[in-house]
Amino acid sequence: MGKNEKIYLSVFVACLLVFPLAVQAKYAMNIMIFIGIDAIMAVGLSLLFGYTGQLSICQGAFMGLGAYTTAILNTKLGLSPWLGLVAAAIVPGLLAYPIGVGVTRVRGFYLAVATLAFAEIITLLLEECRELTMGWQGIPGIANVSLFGFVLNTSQRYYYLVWVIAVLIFIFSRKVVSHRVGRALRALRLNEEAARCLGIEAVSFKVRIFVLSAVYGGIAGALYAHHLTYIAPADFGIWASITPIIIIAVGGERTVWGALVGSFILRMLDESLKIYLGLPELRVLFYALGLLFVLMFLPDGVLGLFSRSKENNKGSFLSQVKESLTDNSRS
Amino acid sequence: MGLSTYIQFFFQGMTNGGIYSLVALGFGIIYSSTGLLNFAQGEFVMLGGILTYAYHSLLSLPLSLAVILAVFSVGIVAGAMERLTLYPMRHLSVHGRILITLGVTLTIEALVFVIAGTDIFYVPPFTSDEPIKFLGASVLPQTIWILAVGFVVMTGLATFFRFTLMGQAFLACAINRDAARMVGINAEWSSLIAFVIGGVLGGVGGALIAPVSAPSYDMGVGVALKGICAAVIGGIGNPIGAVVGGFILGLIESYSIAFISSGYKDGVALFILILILMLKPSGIFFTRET
Repeated sequence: MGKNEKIYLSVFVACLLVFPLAVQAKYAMNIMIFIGIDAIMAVGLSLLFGYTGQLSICQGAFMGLGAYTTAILNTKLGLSPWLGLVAAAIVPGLLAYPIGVGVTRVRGFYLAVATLAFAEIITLLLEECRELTMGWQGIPGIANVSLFGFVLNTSQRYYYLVWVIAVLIFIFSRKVVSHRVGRALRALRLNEEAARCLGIEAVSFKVRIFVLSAVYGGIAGALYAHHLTYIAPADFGIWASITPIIIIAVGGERTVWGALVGSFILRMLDESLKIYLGLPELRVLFYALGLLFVLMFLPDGVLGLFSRSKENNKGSFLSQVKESLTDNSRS
Repeated sequence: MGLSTYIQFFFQGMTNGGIYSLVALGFGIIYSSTGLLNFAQGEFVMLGGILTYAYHSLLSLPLSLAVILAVFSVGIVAGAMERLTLYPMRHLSVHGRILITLGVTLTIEALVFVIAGTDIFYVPPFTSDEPIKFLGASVLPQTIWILAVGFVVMTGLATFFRFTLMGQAFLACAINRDAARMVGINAEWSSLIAFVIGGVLGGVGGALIAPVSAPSYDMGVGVALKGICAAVIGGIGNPIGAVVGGFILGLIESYSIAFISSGYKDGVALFILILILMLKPSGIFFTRET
């Protein structure tokens, strides 16, 4: 990790620690919890799309699988939420492996279609397998998480749980992409054939990242389930799979931090729209138009405005603006 | 199960299959020409149905005129989509542009949601409501319309591509854009034409199925997925494959309602899609994609 990055990260973590002490409102805590969960979902996708160029439209399904795994283990078998969390990480990963192997060896567009189909199948199964999942009504009464007897049943306490996990996941993901694996992934994205000639095994890297994104989705789902204590299949449909896509489009797909920035922006936007517009119909329209706007005018997301674009050998958009304003002598 | 029940399910399958064929054709034409997977194809179908309702019930136009206007309008929407969102971004990667089609899909869906809410819209059948008895099964007249209009549309397309200069030019662009440019064909138009044709196909499908299955704002994604399924079964880019794939999908769906419960019918189609993507992504028929 670069020196600047470590500084930003430390400042961010410090803010995270201080935030609940400064702001006591439960509403704010809840928003931050959702931002954290969104960010965990989006990081998985950012690794997959930003680094391997594969679009996955089933993060919502992995989240649903994770949420239902922990919910079922908890309500039907009475197991501890921590076990549920671990299981929620494993189950989607296991399912992602055969799908990843089967589909990543073909063109990325087929992965998008297959993941979309997979997401629909999962939603269908969640609704139809009533004995296991209680159908479309969902599962109520999921227990709160407790740590050595200390129950995390207030928003403040849960905030810490979510963000500790989120920060750990972010640091881990950053290490994944700065390492040899990361360089391999970037090479794959730039030119798969050239990368293969250099001995980089395209298939196994893509599958590993796909499974990792599923694991993150599962973790996010478990955190979601234990926070709301009630889940239903409708929570994990197409929209849940599209939201991480919007998040990394907005935040920036090139780095892992884009997922964080995107989650913040999206959630803040959502809450503001809720307050100022009220109508849910208009909110969805804003999201859709916003996505189009970002895709067309900010292809590298918000973070792209600040970063140096290595591929063009130019500075970032903002630094180019600065250059054009201050430089008088260039011919 | 008696013979008449089999036949009943057969016609049910052919009804939906006709629509899936049209959608799959639309996907295939756009894909061959631009290399893009147009997620908005399902929205074209939805718009076809809803606009038919709007022109007929709200503007009190005769049904036949309403249908023609609706199809025409969807063609315009598709063309506008291409010119406004895809053409300016033509240097963006394929993935980026596919995401843009996703953005347009969400926008169209959201717009219809804002204007029309969650209502479903009743469109009267083209001729009558009375089912026709055939070998003991009841067949809706609308089914005949779907198959007939579908046949006419496909023949029309085939004629267009084979016998008109514009059609030939379009095919040339689809096969090799740069080579087409070298012989003086304006390749920029081929994307636009592809989208307009895709829009028209979707709109026709939407208008045809509207009396059978009332349109609503959120039907687009499901239809798109089925269309993709049909296109993949038949081999994307292959027009005969698209048509056959559509009917195969319709029949599989219909008979899985018969043999498995109806709740799982969508699942069967999707499961088959995933299987084919994993085992033989080029579909049952040979594709001529490069």
